[in-house]
Amino acid sequence: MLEKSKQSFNSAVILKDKGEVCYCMSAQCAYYSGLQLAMTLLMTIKGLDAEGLFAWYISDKNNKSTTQSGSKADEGKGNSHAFYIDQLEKAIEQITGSERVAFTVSQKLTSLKGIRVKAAYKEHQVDEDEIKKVISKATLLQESIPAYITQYLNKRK
Amino acid sequence: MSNIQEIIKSHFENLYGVTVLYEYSSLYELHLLKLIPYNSILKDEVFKAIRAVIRECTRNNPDESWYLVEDDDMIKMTCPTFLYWKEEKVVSNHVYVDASYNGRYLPTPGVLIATDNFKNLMSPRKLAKTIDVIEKATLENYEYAFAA
Repeated sequence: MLEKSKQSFNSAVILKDKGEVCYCMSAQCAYYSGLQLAMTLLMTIKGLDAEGLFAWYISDKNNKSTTQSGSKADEGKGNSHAFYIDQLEKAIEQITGSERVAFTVSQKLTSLKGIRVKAAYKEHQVDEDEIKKVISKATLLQESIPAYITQYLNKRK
Repeated sequence: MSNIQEIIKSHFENLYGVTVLYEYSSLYELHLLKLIPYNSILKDEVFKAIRAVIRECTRNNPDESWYLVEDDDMIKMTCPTFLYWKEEKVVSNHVYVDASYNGRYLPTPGVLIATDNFKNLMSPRKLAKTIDVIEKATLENYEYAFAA
């Protein structure tokens, strides 16, 4: 998944450099590069593969649904991305001991999520200023999340 | 909506000099919060309050995402549906503007509306004149203020 994240990030940069006709797709690749990093960190901590990670999300969702309404949620429905971002924040807080660091990282990914929604589903275009900021945030995630994974692995030794 | 207002109010009612704006953006499919001034997030009590608001709202709706808009952000807040504001010197006049955006902001009559911070958010086309404070605002004098 880490390799896939790098590919997504590289695609985002290449598409940005192609010009404005590719900004929307660049923004989508940038978001997925960050989401894939979040998944990598969670998979590392939980010792899960991608399928196991999704099963964790479904299990958590069903537990919450059972607690709240007494009935099970429909499997597969809902927002796994929001769950991963929420869990990313908790994991980084645990690794770094800093609420602020964890919040900053998860907010960067959340902002990319918002731009991705706009880029994929809305009629609005992504402009040059936005795509520069998108790439900047995605770059920061590429630099920071792997470092937290390393930090986690070093702590575990 | 009123639930979100109450959550923000309960976490910010002991903090002065910070404006909190809220908007649900269908463009980004995000709940947006904005702090004025943004750098008040550097204060621990403000940071903790914002985090508490987001945590509580996320717990209520885990499928939804919350984002704190930065200054000069790529995520834009366009029409905040309400703001929560408390002036440091005006302790007794609790400011709570319930503004529905339908081409214009409608203040709740009888509240104290501020406004150096508020005008920073408003479009200069709408707010061409400095308004310090409008006491016991009514729709009429509010419209006048925007038209001035």
